[in-house]
Amino acid sequence: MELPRCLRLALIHPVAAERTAWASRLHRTTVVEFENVQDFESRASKCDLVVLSSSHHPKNLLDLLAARLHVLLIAGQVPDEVILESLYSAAGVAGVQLTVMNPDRYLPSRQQIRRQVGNTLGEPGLIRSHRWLPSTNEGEFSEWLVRDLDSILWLAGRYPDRVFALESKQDGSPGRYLQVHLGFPGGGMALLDLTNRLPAGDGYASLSVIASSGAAYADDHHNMQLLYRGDRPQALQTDERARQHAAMIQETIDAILLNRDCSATLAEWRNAWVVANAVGHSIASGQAVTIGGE
Amino acid sequence: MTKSPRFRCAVLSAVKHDYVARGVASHPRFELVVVADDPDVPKWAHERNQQFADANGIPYLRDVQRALTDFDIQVAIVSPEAERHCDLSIRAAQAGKHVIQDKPLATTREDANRLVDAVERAGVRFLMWNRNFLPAVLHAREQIESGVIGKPYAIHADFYFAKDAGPTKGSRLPGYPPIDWQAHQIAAHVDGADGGLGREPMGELAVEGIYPLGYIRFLTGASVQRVFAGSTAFFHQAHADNNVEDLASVSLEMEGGILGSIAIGRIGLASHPSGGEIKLHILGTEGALVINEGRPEVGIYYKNQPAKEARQRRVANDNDFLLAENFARAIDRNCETVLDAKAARAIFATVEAALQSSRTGQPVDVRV
Repeated sequence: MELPRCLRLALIHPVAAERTAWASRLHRTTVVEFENVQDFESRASKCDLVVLSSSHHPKNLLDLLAARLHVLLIAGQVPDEVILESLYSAAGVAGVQLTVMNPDRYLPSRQQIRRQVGNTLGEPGLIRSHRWLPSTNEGEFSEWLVRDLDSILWLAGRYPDRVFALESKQDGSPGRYLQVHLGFPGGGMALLDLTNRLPAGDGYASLSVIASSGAAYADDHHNMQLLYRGDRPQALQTDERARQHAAMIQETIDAILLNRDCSATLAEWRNAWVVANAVGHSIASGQAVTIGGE
Repeated sequence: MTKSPRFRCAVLSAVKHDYVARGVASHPRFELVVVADDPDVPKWAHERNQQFADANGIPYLRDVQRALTDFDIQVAIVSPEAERHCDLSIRAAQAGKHVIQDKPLATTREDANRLVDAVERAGVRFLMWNRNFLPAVLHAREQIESGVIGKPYAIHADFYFAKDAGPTKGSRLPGYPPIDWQAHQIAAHVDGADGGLGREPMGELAVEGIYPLGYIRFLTGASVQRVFAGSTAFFHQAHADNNVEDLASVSLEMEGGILGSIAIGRIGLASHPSGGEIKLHILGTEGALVINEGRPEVGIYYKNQPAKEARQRRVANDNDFLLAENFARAIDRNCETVLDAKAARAIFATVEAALQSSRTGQPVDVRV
């Protein structure tokens, strides 16, 4: 299908190498790079779509929307769903698209799995996610929790009706460890554990989806290479993250060019936040929490 | 040099998993001398017992008591249908015989308690057959005991058998009767997928839960205190018809503040190239371990290879020999085995609580 025109994109990100890497892979767009919002505002460049992290101050985001610019938020440390709602309203008033996207959905392995779910793999029955991180701040930890919950909900294709969560109480140990257990209508389940207590160095992620006609396993363990330098070999991970942000931005560009409504992304991200809040309630109460469907 | 004594073994029913008896016999200190079962078991059970006896060149008696008294037996190896486990094990223990029993421990709490009491009163050794001595599990334990990851605070076990268990869920045509559990399990014996053999339907938590829970106990030494579980008949018509699960997830709260989980299921042949993904993820205060339980392994692929044949095959699996060795030493030294009756009952109680949790949708305390 022939797409109608080219989009002018303002790409706001503090790391030049990342901006350039993403921009180099985009089609149907002209890209101008900015280090931060102030840089963007000071150079007052004409554009159609602004791409930036959701950790920016809500006022910056509201200003962009009020200026009738489409906005793609790379989901991260979004304050809460109340602010999301105000951004959504502002986008509606301005008649522009506000999209919130979790970059993890665009990892090639996750895209591969998502294409198979509901297709060759059948319906998901049990999704298991491990994410182990070296030390992070509390905001980053919460961001990872919401991102991983979003990934699970996206793969499950539905909203859980039950949440049970535990937090490890290890006196004196820095960092956190959470364990989340989701139940879905129809019997599906998910397990997630998340920690930022690993020693300094690389983290670990693993995802498995057991489904009615098959299964998928995306595990850092499988993607390790070995380095021998005496003593025990080291494990080196062959990374898959080169293209995920470009893929995510391209999808938004194409959606805007085709006039496709991106507001569902907001609802999905909000759902992940609701589940994250339920995680907190479950930990506090020691009980499973029932949540309504969306 | 004094030679260690050999233990003469009676196989009290080989109708389910004769690999238990074969595994024990792989150790030079154990000798199978007789197979026995009660006279009133069904014809198919007598046939299986006779086949096993013939294959091992030993007699088959339709008289358990005579086998226990007339053959100078020291050990009974028990692998009937699940609901007869306890009865045969208790009779053996009461006759002063050490017992190796197939899993699960029991099908009821009352039977589990009777078995533990009988074993204690008789002062005999008891071993619940398990997989704790697989090379990768031993390797994990070595790493933990070396302190390289510090003190474990979380442990997760995935225990998936990529096996079919009859027709897929939703395949029963209108007007057709539900699948009879026992008939289905009897038929499944040909490919070893009859862990739930018995009149009473059993889901994967009851049939196989002992394995991942056994690993967790072996690696942490901690008992489970509270669970939250979900379970469902997701794949197979037999499980759906008989209201038992073939897929389950259990969150665990353990002694010492250790948290954990198991994900378990009989997930269909297509879901893994080599029989199922079995993994351990262990977090400690100084690091973490990711263990593939199937290693060491070798990949074997060839033209027209049957779908049921594993592409990655386990090698150097010494589990049977090491379990038998552990049992022999327990008898020699009058000490506990790696998975004794009380530990097996704790696992039974964990499964019981998990099933209750999945029914109520709330966490349940484990009552041992």
